[in-house]
Amino acid sequence: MTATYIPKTLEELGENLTHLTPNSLVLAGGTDLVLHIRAKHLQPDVLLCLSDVEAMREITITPDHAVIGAMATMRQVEDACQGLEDLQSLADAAGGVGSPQIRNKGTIGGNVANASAAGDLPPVLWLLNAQADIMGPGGVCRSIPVRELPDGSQGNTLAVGEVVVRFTIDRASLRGWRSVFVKLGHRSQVTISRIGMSMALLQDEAGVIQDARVIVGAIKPVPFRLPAAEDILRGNLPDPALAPALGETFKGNTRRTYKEAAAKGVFEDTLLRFRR
Amino acid sequence: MRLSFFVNEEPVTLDTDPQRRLLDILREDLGLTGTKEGCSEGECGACTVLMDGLAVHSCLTLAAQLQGRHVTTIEGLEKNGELDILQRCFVEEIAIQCGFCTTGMIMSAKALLLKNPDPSPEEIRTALSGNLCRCSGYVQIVNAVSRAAHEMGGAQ
Amino acid sequence: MKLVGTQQPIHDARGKASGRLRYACDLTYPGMAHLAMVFSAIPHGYVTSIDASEALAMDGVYAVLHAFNTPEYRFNHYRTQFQSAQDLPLEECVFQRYVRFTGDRVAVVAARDEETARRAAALVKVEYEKLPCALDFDQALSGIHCLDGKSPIEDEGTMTVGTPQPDEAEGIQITVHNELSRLHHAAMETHACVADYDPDEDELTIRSPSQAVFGIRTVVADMLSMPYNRVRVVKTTMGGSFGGKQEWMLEPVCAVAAKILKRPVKLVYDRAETMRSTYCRAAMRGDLRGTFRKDGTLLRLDLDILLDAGAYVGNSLDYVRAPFGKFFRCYRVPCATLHSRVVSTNTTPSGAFRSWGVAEYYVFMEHLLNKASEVLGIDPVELRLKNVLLPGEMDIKMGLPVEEARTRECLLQGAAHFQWEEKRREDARFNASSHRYKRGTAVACAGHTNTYYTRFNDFAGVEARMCDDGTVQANVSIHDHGCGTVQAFKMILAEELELPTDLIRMKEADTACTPYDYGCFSSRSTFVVGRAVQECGKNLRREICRSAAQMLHVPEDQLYLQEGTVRWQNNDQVSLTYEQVSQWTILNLRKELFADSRYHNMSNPTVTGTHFARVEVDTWTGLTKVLDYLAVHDVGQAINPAMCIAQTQGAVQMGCGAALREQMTISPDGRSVNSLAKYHLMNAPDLPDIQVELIQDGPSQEGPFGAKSIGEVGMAPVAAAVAGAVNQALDADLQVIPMDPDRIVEYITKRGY
Repeated sequence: MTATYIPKTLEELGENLTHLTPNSLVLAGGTDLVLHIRAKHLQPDVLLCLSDVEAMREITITPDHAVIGAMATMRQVEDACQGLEDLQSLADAAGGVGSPQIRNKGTIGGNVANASAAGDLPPVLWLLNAQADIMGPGGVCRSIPVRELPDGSQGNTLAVGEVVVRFTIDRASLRGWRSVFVKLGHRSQVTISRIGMSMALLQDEAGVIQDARVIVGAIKPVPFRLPAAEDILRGNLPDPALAPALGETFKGNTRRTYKEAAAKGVFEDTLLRFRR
Repeated sequence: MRLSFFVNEEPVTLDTDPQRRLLDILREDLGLTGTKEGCSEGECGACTVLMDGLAVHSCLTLAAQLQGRHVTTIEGLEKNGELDILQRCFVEEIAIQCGFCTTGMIMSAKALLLKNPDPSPEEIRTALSGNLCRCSGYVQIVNAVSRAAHEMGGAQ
Repeated sequence: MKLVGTQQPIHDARGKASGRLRYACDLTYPGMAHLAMVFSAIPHGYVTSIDASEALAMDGVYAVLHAFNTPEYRFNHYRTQFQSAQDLPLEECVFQRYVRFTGDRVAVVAARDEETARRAAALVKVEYEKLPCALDFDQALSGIHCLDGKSPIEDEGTMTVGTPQPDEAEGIQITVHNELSRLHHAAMETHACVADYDPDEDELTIRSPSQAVFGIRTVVADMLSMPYNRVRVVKTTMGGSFGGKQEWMLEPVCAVAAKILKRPVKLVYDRAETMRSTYCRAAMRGDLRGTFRKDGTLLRLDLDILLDAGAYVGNSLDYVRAPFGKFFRCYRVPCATLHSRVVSTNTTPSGAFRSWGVAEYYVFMEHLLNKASEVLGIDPVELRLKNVLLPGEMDIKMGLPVEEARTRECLLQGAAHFQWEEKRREDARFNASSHRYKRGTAVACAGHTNTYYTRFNDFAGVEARMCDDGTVQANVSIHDHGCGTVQAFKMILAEELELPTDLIRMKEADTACTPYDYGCFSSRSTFVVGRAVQECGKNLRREICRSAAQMLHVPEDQLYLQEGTVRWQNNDQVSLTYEQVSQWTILNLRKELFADSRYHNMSNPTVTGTHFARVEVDTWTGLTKVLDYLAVHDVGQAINPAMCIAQTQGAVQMGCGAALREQMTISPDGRSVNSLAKYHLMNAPDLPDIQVELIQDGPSQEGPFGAKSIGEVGMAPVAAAVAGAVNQALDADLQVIPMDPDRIVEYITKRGY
């Protein structure tokens, strides 16, 4: 018999977390978990549903910080970040997850906690050096870089009784940067990612790239950084002609010959986004 | 759990398994079979309903997530025995063939028009990207939504 | 014509839009048990034991049925007619003890609700003795899975049509190779069936979406040794089929369960089960060699095909042969051979699919013509113009005239409207200056049938009676896929009777009350059954006038019908309503106004479509966009043109998927893909504004109002056109369909540019 908790506040959440065991399930948007529950006919001892914790849906964006509740839906994240040059990659990634129906329910926290290799939010959150605020049993909180959440084999490092409550991004440290996310899937809309390209560039007034960050998802079990691509970009304009050379940096990073060859296409599409 | 929520603006209270899908609550507990199950995994959109005005998959929504929510199904569009404008446009624009995708398609279109009363054909196709139709090439469906938008006063 | 040729919504559009219309999955009956299947977890072997104790212990579970606790019921899922018409082996059992693919039926659980049934099914413990399996052509040909020295070749045959031409030896030989993947029908409605058994009357009732209620009756009644008149099969509203609901997977299970449990039962396969455990379109590979004269005219075709029947032979022997005949319905082919082999593998069985192999065979044909076009230096449209059959010519395989073929007009009109030459020139200019994207434009033609004839003697029967208020009730065995057959037939009948369609009641096939009918296949509905509807309309009109003539004391041939009344040509003040005529007939002639018709056709005019596709291939990611598409169809007379157009656009959507991305792959342990997350259909953003044009000045002699067919021929040229366009864009000879991103990138990488 499953005990169900539907907390309304963070305080209630803290209390509810004390009841979780390894046989419990945490329900965020449900777009991943419900499939898992039904495929395995799971009957957890506790089902903790986060849908009613209003505080976890809040998105607050100031010039210096972006604070995004873990229960913010993809759609909400997309709407909040659209047009903000430093956070555009977040809008791109959230706006490309699944279909409109998925985006109305799937959450940023769920996408990150699910830690699927093809997840679109993790590479972008890494790109933006996001922090994850985690609450544990009794309301005890800790904060770690989002980079440290995955366990390397499509699971997460959260302890039993822990949930991510919010993500924070230090926008002050991103001043002057522009970020973009481009995904390659099986079709143009509604697809799992085969390559998830997140790129941030710091350009001078002439548009020359002073600094670059490239994080790629859907290639390895966890996103990874591509310093070789960053080296190519530094000192250049974001010229699509760099795409073939950038594509070469995928060699040795993937066994999938398709992805190795297709990488230059994703790089070119990404660079085109940076053109003013 | 004791679930209290709203379906087509009517209050509904049920004792139910918190893991019960909204799709099954609608179809089996409430007898509202207009919402269909086409894939059970959030890929086809046949199960689309509105939850607080947004299109969601009822096959991926659990009872635990429904407390106090307002769910609108296809049955909620008709008023006083009259089909809603979208439903009528689907009929008249020959946007219905086998009909299995129709109710989900209409709900997604409804959600679109609630937010964007004058969508372009591209915006319509994106709004319907999660609703699969195997009988058509989506042409009449897009026409029906455009025409409904126009009749609802969206286009200037 | 007042109605025929106008735009009308499908007959049940309102119910579909309101959500009130019930499909099989929506039906409930008091005391109904929900069924859930247990499928084989292995691709080949024997079920050695089944332990259902845990499942039976669950609250709400009524029974678990399987091979060890039910009689062995054998049947053939392909059967749609009695044995003397279709000589088919009893290939399978309702519950298999010998399982031949992952997904084969092992057991069924009956419970109070679906959730419980599914949970219980997961608790049924099955033990197997595994056998070696074959999952692809090469493994199949090796015979690794064959028992007792049986050959892996289920069937091999050669067919020759026509005679070699005197100048054949001087012809130029060109060969193409193609490999086509398995496809899933992907009707939005998954498979479902409701059955009930009345033990006092010994009557079984089956309700399911199907293309042949009489076929189900034959199979189930034979299997259960019941008289046919005690097995009632009703066709429910169908949420799409595309050939997927004309072979029987669920009905035998439901029939057995209903009979044993003596309560209504409902079985609904979810998408995963429909994908894996019903049937799919066969994988095939082969070579087509064409012998051409220098001027481009065809001398000869030689086709060699290897087809994968999957776990059960089913329809494969027919499926590999029938489409060969369709070459002779589009093109002038003096001589041709087919060498075909069918192998079985331990995979989801293959079966009927829209166009019954014609879409596949035209991939080969159009590929050949495109290659010939290059080799001979003749424009692809020109080459086809030289070879398409003209009015008055013969389909030499059927031995029938093609009648008013308009393929030539389709080509010319299509090429002009699609701006064929300009597009091809633009593509060349674009490609020369684009480092990454390449565009290509291609054309494809295909021909199909309108009836079973000459394969079978085709016929249909229709009845219509007038109520005492002048409205009409018609009895027709219709199997509407959701494509508008009921509405089209209502329009035909209404046209003959001068009535609005909403005064005509016409339901779908029900073995208890509608006339015997082969079912909805071979695109025969409009041409044969629709003609029978028209004839019945004419007959009822005659009955009305005959009665009215007696009422008015005027000669029958001076009367005519107009807008629900009978009028006299000599005095336009004279007017009788149908209500008046009907009631007078009952009172004075001691009968109701009734007519029937028995129509059998003796012709099968060609019906063709010519499609133009323009694509843009991203040579870096391998993704292909369909930029532009035009389908031109020679339909004789479109009864409901808007539905013909909508249906053809759907065929284009399906064929684009087949050409570019749809494939049901098999995992190394024998599991076919069973999720739409992995089997990608074309969605709304993927498709352009597909254009369809209907040419209607080439009527058939026997179709209602000159109609031919559209449902299958619409599908036939699509994958051929899109594949041709991709090859044109890449200046390549890609052979494996679908031309998915991985294959395109692999080719580009190997080529080096």
